[in-house]
Amino acid sequence: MKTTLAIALFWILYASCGIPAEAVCAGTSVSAFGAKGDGQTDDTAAIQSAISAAAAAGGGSVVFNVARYFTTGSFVVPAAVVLCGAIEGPPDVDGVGDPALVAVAPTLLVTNTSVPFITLQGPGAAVTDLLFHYPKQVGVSASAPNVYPYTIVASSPGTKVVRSTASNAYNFLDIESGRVIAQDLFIGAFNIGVNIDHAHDHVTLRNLNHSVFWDTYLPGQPYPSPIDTWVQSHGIALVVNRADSLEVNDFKLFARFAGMLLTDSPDTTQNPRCGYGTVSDIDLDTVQYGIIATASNSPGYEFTNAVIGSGFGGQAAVQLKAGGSIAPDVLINGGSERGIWALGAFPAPAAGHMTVVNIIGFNLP
Amino acid sequence: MKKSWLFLFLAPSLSLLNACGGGGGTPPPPSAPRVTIAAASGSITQGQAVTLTWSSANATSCTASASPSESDWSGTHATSGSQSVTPASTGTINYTLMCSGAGGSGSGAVSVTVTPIHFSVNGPTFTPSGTSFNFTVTALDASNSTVTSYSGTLHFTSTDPHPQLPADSTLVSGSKVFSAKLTTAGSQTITATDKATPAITGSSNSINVGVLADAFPVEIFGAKGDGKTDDTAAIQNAINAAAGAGGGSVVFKVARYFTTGGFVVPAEVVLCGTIEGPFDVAGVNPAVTAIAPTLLVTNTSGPFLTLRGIGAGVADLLFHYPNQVKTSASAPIVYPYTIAQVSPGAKVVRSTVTNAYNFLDIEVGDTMDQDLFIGAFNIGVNIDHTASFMTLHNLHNDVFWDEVESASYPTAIDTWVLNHGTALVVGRMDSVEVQDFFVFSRFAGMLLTDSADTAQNPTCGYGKGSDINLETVQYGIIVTASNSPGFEFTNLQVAAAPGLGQAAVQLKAGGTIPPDVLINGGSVRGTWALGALPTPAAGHLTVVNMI
Repeated sequence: MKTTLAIALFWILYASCGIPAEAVCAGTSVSAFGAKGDGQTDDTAAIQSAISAAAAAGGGSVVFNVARYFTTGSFVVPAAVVLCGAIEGPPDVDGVGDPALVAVAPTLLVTNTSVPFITLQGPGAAVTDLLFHYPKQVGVSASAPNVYPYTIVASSPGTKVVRSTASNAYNFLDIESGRVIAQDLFIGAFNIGVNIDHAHDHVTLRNLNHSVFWDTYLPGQPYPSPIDTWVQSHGIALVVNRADSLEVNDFKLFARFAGMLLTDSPDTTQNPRCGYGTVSDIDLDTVQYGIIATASNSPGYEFTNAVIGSGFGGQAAVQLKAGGSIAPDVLINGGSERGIWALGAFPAPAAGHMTVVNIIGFNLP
Repeated sequence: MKKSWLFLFLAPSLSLLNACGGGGGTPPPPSAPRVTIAAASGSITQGQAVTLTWSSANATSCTASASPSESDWSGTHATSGSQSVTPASTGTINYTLMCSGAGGSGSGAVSVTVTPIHFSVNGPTFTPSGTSFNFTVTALDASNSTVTSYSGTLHFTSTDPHPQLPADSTLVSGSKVFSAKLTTAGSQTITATDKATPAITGSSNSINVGVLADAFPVEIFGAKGDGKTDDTAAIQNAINAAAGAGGGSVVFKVARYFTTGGFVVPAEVVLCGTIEGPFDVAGVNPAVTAIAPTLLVTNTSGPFLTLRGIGAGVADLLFHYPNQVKTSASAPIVYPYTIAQVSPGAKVVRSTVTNAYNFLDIEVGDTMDQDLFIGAFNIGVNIDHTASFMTLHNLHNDVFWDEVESASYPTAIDTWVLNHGTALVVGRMDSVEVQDFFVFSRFAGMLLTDSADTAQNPTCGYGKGSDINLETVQYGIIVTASNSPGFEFTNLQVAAAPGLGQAAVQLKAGGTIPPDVLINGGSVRGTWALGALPTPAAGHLTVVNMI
């Protein structure tokens, strides 16, 4: 039996590389450091040993097999160390059952409530091809989620998070530096999907998919669950504070309070406290607000191919609010909006300038 | 038997001596000491003990010595007794006991033959990291016959800094199968050593610890990755081994591989790093600090890598030119292209170049280049002789040299780049597709023009670009020629370099086929001396939905 499992893992490991093989996730398995991956044993110490060993070697990949690694602690990932799964992500959890019980991917079970689970600290530090799941989060029948810190904090330039999935997170990714890449992510976070602040250089977000993953891993669970109602009045896929040259591409979400909140940082020591950037190919589906902007630095935010659909008593596709440190400047060139908006799809800005061109409204009553 | 015979032999000779000594009334002189010594066995194996037993006559003290010397057979000994000794040497050992008394000294000696033993340690040639495997230890004599009587205790060590090895153990009839796990990728060995006699030892064959099939770590072929030693030959050997195996990955760790040569990468061979790229270099000099699998390039005579053959590729690597000028210089040193793609099916992905002169030369169609950070002073990507489709996806051209030195923009070298650098040059190109193309601080974002090779027909290209952001440029896009149906851009953003902006898009005259360019959606910012979108000198420029 054990041999069969070992052979199976062996081939799963191999299955990640086609011909020609690309040894992206080539490194030391956490199992070599004693991680059990049985979903019960606390693997925190073993994973920390693997990270320390990779760091001591000057960098390298720490490899997670298709298994459930239960953890109670948190990790700081130093320069040139990558936590990676042995099979290509991002993993989806649609109809597969509870990720806390069934291993469908290299899975980290997160229970720490005091600090961010992973802090990427140093150039080259990264997370790839992993599934993060919160086994102690509330069920979908609850009226409000348990609060957790961010799953991942990217605190240094040159860090990245790619091909990974979060399910049942409260807040997922906090980018606190410029020159960070987040790419190919499935994000199931109740409150904030991605937060950006203190980014004095460009940040790239590509192919991010925010959905109700908590519903989908339970076969037959009808939408909306009670927890979805909470998300509909609280959840925001992307919050941008200080960001100099944000680039967002292929950004899709389903069922949130707001798609994007472009606003001032609470850290008032920054000058400016707000950001600017370009955004294309975004699909904000079933939201009260598509985009809320309260502030932007010059030259503002530019959106191309923005598709916004209202839900839950939609308020506005795009709304510019007053009260920010610099009046926001938003340009939307190309796209569509649909559904009914209580304030109108593009209400007159309370502050700043909004230019909307080449937008098509369809499916209107 | 031997003892009593010796005694009988000595007795007559003593009486003879007595007879000849002849002085009447004079006491006989003291007799010389006699020593006898014997070993329990005259032949043992290395590590075994043997008991020496000795006795003497006419002796008051004895001294032991061995040839070759043995630490447990030396110094003062009793005039009779027995002692267990374990020979440290192998071969024939002579144990001598010299005794002295009033009559002088005498000695006895015995020889013991010690048969040398070594271990053979046989493991697999390859194991995945962290997966248990079996290996066999056998005690062998000099003629490689199993020493079934070996009874020592073995201790295990490995070159792997994080091994899982068996506990100390004995063998059964001279042999035993053990289980272990190795974790650190690369070439490792396991060594078995006798705990009591460390001279009895043996190391395994080289065990290649990897996590992927067809992986050829360059360390196995002797690469040092220390940033100084020339690793050219080792890397070439790894490439040859991968090619000889019908293809595979030549794997680079997070280390700095200094090179003086260039490489041809054949079909189905991929040079790749062990951690995910592309790599940013903010505040880090890759020549000094390894933050990524790094190739230090110094060759000036030809392209550093030539991808020749279907499936040849580069993934997750950082290329750096340690001998390039600093950012305070007024012009860069000229180098050939870092990478030339000369075969269809070749690709370059998730990689970074810093301080290159020219980075990527695509000389064939059906190629793909994706997720690249490009710090090239002169030309980022050049495309020519491309008679088929090719894809550029997510290319980021930036001033990485400033980041390497933590220098503030603009540096002196940035000024040169603002007057010379072009992120993308397209010659002959049948259907290029460019997506997510970012440029900061270049003379021109794109130059779409005729190939210098006039043997082609046509000598120019066509294709589509979307989500293009050309920031801080003198010219966004310069077009002198295009083949039908021309170039089409969607979501094009162009911003002028302050005080230097000439035109966001300019169609010039003089090409073989007047260019045709369509721009549908995007924006233009800044001040342009010629106007953002000046009237074409040749061809047709259609601009709609541009703000």
